[in-house]
Amino acid sequence: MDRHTPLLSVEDLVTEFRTPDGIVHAVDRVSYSVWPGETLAVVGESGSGKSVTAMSILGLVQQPPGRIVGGRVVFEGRDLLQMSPREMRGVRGKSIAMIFQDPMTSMNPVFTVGFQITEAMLAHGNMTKREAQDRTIAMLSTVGVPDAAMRFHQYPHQYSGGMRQRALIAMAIANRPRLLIADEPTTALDVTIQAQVFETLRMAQAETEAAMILITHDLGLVAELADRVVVMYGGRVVETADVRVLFHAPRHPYTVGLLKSLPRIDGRAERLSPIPGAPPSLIHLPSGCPFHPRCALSNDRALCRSERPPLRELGPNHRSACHFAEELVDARGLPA
Amino acid sequence: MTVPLPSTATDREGLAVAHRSQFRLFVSRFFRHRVAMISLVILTAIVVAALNAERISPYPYDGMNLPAANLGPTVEGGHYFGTDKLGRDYFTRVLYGTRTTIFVAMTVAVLATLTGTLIGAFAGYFGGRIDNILMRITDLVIILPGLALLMILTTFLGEGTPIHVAVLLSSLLWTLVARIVRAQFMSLKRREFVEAAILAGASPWRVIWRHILPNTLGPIIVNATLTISTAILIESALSFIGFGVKPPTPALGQLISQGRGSMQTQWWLVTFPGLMIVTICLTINFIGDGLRDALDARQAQRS
Amino acid sequence: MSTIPTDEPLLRVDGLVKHFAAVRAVDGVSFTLRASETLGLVGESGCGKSTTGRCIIGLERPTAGSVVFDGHVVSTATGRELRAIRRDVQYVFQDPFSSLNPLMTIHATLEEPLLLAGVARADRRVRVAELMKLVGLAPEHANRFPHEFSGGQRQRIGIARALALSPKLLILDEPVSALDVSIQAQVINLLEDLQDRLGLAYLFVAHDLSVVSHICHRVAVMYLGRIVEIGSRDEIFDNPTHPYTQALLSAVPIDDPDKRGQQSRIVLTGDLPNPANPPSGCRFRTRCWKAAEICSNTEPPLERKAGGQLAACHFAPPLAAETVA
Repeated sequence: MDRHTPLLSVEDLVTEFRTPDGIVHAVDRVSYSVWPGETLAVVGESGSGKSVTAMSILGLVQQPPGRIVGGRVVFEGRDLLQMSPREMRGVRGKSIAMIFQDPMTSMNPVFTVGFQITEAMLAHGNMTKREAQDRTIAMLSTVGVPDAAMRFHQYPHQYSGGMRQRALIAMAIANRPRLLIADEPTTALDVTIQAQVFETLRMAQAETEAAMILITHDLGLVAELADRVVVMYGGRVVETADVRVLFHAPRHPYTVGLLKSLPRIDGRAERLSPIPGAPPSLIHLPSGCPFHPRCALSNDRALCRSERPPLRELGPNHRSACHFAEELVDARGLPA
Repeated sequence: MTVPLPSTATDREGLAVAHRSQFRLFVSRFFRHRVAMISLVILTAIVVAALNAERISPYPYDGMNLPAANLGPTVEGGHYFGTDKLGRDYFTRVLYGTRTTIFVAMTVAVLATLTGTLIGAFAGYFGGRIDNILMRITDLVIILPGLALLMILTTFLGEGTPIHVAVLLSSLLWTLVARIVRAQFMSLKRREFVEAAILAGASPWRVIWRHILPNTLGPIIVNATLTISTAILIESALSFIGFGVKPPTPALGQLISQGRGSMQTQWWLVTFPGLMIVTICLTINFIGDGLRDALDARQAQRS
Repeated sequence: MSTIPTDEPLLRVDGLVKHFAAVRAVDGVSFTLRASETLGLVGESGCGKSTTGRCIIGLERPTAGSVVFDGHVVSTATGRELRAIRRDVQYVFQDPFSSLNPLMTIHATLEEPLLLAGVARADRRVRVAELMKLVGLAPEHANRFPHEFSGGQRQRIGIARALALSPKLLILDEPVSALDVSIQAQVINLLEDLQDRLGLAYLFVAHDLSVVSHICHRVAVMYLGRIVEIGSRDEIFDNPTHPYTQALLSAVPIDDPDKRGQQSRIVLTGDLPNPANPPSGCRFRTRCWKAAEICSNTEPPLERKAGGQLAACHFAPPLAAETVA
């Protein structure tokens, strides 16, 4: 594969929602790229815009009340935002597959799991029903669903949570997509089940050589699985970096604050260092930099209040949207 | 895909800048629903007119005036809706009929809602045997053939006065409210703020009255408005077939029934009361819609 | 009020059992808790930790066993006695969005426990302002409604409500799980501060092991309605002896990309057994890599192991030959 052009390139994406209270700027000029075979983690808390971005990429934003106002999403040379719904349906499920957070609502409760997976295959590929069925059973086995031949005929509610998620992963990789988008795939699951599922994800990705966008708020998952990380806040990208660089030398006050505020299972800190304040409203975003009201580095400087910081290059593959990112190198507020 | 929930405008501490109670938010949402607002205006006009029938119309309800019989709608003499075969001004008759209909419908709504709420609340909150008994009673009432039963009841029990009809209608229409309230209570009593109130020492009465009931008011009110239009339709149907409000008390269904024979030649006898029924029901339904939308928005806001 | 001798723990749970029809949610749980101490109750869904918490405060009536708090028997208390106990034990709920009545102002919500305890109006007003300040909120905002506050703030209000009558013990059911990561730290710090200032004991029910390792003095690990291991925080986290605890700890993703792949992660096979029909002998044996015949025949007793903690496993080396309750 050509390693010099990104598989997916989101460019200046803007998505809004009209609500009775005002316009929600869910995605505010977001840009990032995903290279073939890599795992890109998109990290953020609620209201950061990470999920809406993914929905916009896949054309799953309900319009109205949502509206993709601007930008491009270039996938394998074509702008997805310009595609007709029919063309998008051809892409979705075949070249780009999505794994959602709650497997119970992503699977149809009235059809068997096997049926749903074979349907997904038959919709996009040329094979007989028998072939699809065999491949499905093999796939279920691969993702670790025990007794796959019998489970093929069962309904989603007969699966446990972890198994459902794994069946969803099987459904997602059934057509050998080139890009997997996983939105909080392990959040609703118990810790030991999470471990099972992310091993499955790792394996699924290895087997299909697909790139993956992993949307999550769990930094532990990011540390385990990601190659590169995009940090989002207030509907914008505030930092992108290779995963090691992000954890050891972050260059945005929000990232620094986030890493410092996490309780570590191996740490014995006396007190945690939280980020003061709360995430901003997406209707009334603060002027200038969305993080400035909570930012210790900003210290209420005028520039932070008035001008939106551009996402600029600070090192190889390392970008940050902060006016005073350079000052962070000296301060070096790193996690304990 | 759901809309990401916006928080209201926040100040530095993350608190809402505009301090508005849920109620005010609800009201402002309702005002935004244009159809509901227009309907509210129209309905208010009709109700006010009906209540002031004496002042509006120069003619008495029963004022016979044979020389002016069978007139179509006309400006002369102020017979905007025409006259019937006895020369009675039809506009007046429709107006008084409307008043009766509205009275019956409102009474039914109030009685049915109160009864249903009481029964639903007890069944939902206490559960167990009480719930079983109350729900079996409810099921029984639902199964009974409503219209036939009403016909029998009004014949044997009623004197055909509006209040009698209203009470009888209520005895059948409370079931929907009861079920809705029961479902609401069953789900609300498990909510954390209700458990917190119990842990704070609240008695069951306080929990029901202060915590659960106010949070149930929304669906109850929406349902009450719909009960009004149901009541109107049933009452009109009953009056039409002669089992509802009996003459000389006017009723819209009655008027339609009386005018039916001469429908071909004197169309206004059937049309105007019919139009009035349709208008009232439509406006009430739109208002109910508006209330429901405003309520849903409030639920979303709650998160 | 009863005074407890300083040796006696504040809370003693003994053989607690709670069945919901066939589901054996809690099936024999025992532990103690002292004043100013935080005991973490961890486990995954279906282990019974939430139900245990609810039984202690009387939101559920135990099927068997006893709960004794400060000399009072909670498990059989009713009416007035239960209300009296609830002045000293309170509860903080998980979901900040449904733990506050949306139609009541914060003032009304905070004042309710005081009102029901017979506190005079003027005193109530003073106390509500005190409580708001205690949890880091501005008292002027008390006349606002829950929807005007953020999730973190609502959780603070929930904590304030629990503290209204100055309880000695707080049961917290996943108090920070529903909050954004950057807000969790704020609330955790608040809880620690309150414990220092007010001498509160906490029963901290949670599934997030990182949070538990930070805030708890002692930890009990539950599986399918039983405690499988209980000990001090360090004993459990540095040297877990029960296989389930080991699996649980190894499943937590490491926050360091450099250590990726270095840690040997234990991935449990299979799923949680049906709580209505738990496995014979050791309940964990169906997913345990050490399982042997003895595991299906005999249930391992909860006894002191070499590391100092109590664990229920046939394969963890015991401390000498004594069994301590």
